[in-house]
Amino acid sequence: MRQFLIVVAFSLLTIGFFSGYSNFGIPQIEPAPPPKEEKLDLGSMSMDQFIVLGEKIFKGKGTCTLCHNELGRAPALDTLAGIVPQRLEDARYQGAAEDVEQYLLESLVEPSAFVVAGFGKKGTNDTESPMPDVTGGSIRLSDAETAAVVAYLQDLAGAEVTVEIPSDTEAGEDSDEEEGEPREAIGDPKVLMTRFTCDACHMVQGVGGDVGPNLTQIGALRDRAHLRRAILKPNADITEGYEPDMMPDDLGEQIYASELEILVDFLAELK
Amino acid sequence: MTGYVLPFAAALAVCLAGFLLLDMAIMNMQGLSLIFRG
Amino acid sequence: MSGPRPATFRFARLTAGASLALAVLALGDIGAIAAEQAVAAHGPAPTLTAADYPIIAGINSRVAVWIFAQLHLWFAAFVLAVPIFVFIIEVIGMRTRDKRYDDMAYEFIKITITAYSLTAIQGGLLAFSLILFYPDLFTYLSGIFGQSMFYYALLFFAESACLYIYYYGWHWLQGGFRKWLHLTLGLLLNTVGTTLMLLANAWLTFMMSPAGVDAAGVFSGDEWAAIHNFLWNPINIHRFVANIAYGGSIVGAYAAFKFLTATTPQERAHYDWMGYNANFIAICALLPLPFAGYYLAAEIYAYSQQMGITLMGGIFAWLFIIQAVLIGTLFLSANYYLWCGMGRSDGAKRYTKYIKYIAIVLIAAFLVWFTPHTLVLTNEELKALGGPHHKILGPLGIMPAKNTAVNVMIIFTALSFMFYRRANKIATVSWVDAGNAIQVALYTAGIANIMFLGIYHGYFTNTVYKVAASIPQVLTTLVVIAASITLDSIIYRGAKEVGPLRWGRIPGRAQYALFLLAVAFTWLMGLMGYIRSGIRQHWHVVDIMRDNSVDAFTPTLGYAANVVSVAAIIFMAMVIFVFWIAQISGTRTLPAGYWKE
Repeated sequence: MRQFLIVVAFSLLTIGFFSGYSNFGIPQIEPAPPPKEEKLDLGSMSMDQFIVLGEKIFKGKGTCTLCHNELGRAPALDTLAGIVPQRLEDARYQGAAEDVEQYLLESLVEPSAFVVAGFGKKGTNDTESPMPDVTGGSIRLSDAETAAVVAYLQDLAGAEVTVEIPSDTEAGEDSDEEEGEPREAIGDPKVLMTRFTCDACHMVQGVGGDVGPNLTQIGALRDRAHLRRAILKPNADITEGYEPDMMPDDLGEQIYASELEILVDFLAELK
Repeated sequence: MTGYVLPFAAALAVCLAGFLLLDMAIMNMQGLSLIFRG
Repeated sequence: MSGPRPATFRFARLTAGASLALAVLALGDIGAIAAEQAVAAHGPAPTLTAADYPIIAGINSRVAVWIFAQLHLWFAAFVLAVPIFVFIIEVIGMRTRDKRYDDMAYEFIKITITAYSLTAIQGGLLAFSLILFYPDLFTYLSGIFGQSMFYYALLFFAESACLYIYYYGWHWLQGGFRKWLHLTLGLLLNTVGTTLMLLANAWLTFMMSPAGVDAAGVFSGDEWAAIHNFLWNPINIHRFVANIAYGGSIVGAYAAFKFLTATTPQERAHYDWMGYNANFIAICALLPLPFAGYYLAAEIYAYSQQMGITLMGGIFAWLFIIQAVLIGTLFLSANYYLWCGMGRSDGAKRYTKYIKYIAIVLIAAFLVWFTPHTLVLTNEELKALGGPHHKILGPLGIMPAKNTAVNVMIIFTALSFMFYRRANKIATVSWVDAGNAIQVALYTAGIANIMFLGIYHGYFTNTVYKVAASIPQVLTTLVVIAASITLDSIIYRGAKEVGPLRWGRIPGRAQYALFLLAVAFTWLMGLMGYIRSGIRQHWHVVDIMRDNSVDAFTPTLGYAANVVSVAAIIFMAMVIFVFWIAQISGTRTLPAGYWKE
């Protein structure tokens, strides 16, 4: 009997050790709660669901949180909808919006209409925003998705949600068939970099962001094969000190072959 | 002594060569070379 | 005693073949009937709300199903494993005509007989709790797997029949043709048991990697496609091997306890021998197990990169650090038991001086094995450390370092085992020095190759090469083990025994290594069960049927560990019950004056 109790005590101690290690020796990360399910069928969506869709896009496809987060790369948006009236009165405001909804929409497609002090591109004296047009480039939100983000931003600040849920049912999905004509190929590498919003995250010659590696002298550091691969398969080589899964991995499906070569040529010359 | 060192050296050479061949074969089967080329 | 007559050989083989064919037919029938089932209409997976999940008596449904499922799995693993090694031991007994093997095989079955009914009870509890707490999920799954579930239930008749005749007829079916018949029953028992596992595995892997359904969850009617989903075979392999290792460890714990409470030297010798065999079985299955697990994880990654990344790089990543601690415990315990056991032989002194080096290597490998790569840090810690990884230790956390560590652990465990086997032998061949030299060269070359692959490809190449290099590492380990065993058997052909092995001459503390093995294994299985189920996160069937219950959230690691611990304690209590029943069934009380004269 005594031996039995010793063995039981030993077993309980062992289990206790494993449990204790799991509770106190390992950081207790609270996993994200399950995402609220949103219907993709806009026709029967409630406003609440539409706002949730907007949140999902804000945190996902829109890549907004890449810069609009606590690290302070971009202005905080949680009270934005509430202070729009002041913005509209501001002397530096260059846009054409007349109410909150129009302003928010404008800030998504023409971010430079108003650049918050200190957040402009370097050297432009806060007249140019490093933020891309979310309906273009590699983000390409549809009209419905943009409207959902606006609804989300209004709700986030506690403002009245004035957006109307569009009847367009292509929200949430990429539709490859929306463009009728194939777009014209771009020949200028700098235009390419703006079109594909590279400068949102990469610095080139003093202009751009610092989410990704500085490309100012990238030609001296990497060969052409590496550069090409970095554009087409960003996760293949992650530079020391940077995180994977940040750069869009579908550029290869959007950029033309001729444009890719122009870009690689340009980058290879940056020394 | 020689009853040990010689067989050891010979076997070591053979084994190392064998393993190297194994490595090359398996890496080639996966479409790669043994030595990394940038 | 003469050997079996030729005619009986043929008959026995016929019976064995027929029983295998039966099981294959059962599975095949499902495919045939499933095709006809396509006529029945199937709807999409239901969209549920929190109201669709019944609340009964304030019980937390998720925890209830979790615990019942885990208890069922522990018992199922055990009762599947025991017939496997009992079968092998019976074969060894038949070949060597050493009755001790037959007796030990019988004892293994005897002490576990109660476990079968407990497994069935747990299974029933699990099925009931699924039906009660998750009725819509169960309806959906049974709409797809109805056929296989029906066959599953029917197979239990076969399982019970085989088990009872096998166990109760053990002493009746002795000698000649009867022994072959008995062995065939053992084979049939294993076949039925394995089929049961394969069927159940299909249902749970379907929930992870659904097949045979479209994006809305509408079933195509092809049940075989649903069964044969992407993760089915990886889970089958991993569970098959893991079950054997697990069964060995549980029986080892039994033997360890009986050793410590033995009253005579004969008893002590008997249970020492039993414990050694159980540990041997556990180690044999433990060696290939990391590879089976790696394969499973690789297939999960291949199926869904998102699932794979969540598994090993996201919120479940820290779980694998705990797993590493547990696996390290398993390897260290198994080795420690082997080292203590070397004392049974007088010739062990020749090898004891090497043990400390093996221990150092194993501990170093273990430390590398459980070093994390990316640390979860606050912003201040990030600044202080200068990044999310520790500059020096961080590089030890990447997969190539871990692969190197585990391959080294496996090779050195095999080395421990080789020393153990050699301890009691004196080689008589003339070339023993050369033979030993070749062995040393083999191990040296193998370890050097593993280190080369791990260091060069791990730190000087890119991701594709890093992953690819793990395959030759594994093969190197397997080659070293196979070649060294073969070579040793040749070197020691006709070898002299130093002396008879002194079964029973092993320190009591070694038995605690066996207890540790059993407890750690149990807890590890509980943890892995949680990962397998939890990786589905908020899905009942990934990407097809959402879990919209209040318990759909993924709990913290500490919470999961606590549930696993509670379940493990319940399980241990039940196992003690199983062994106690075996004990009392052999006890007789003679009450004086109670019965009429």
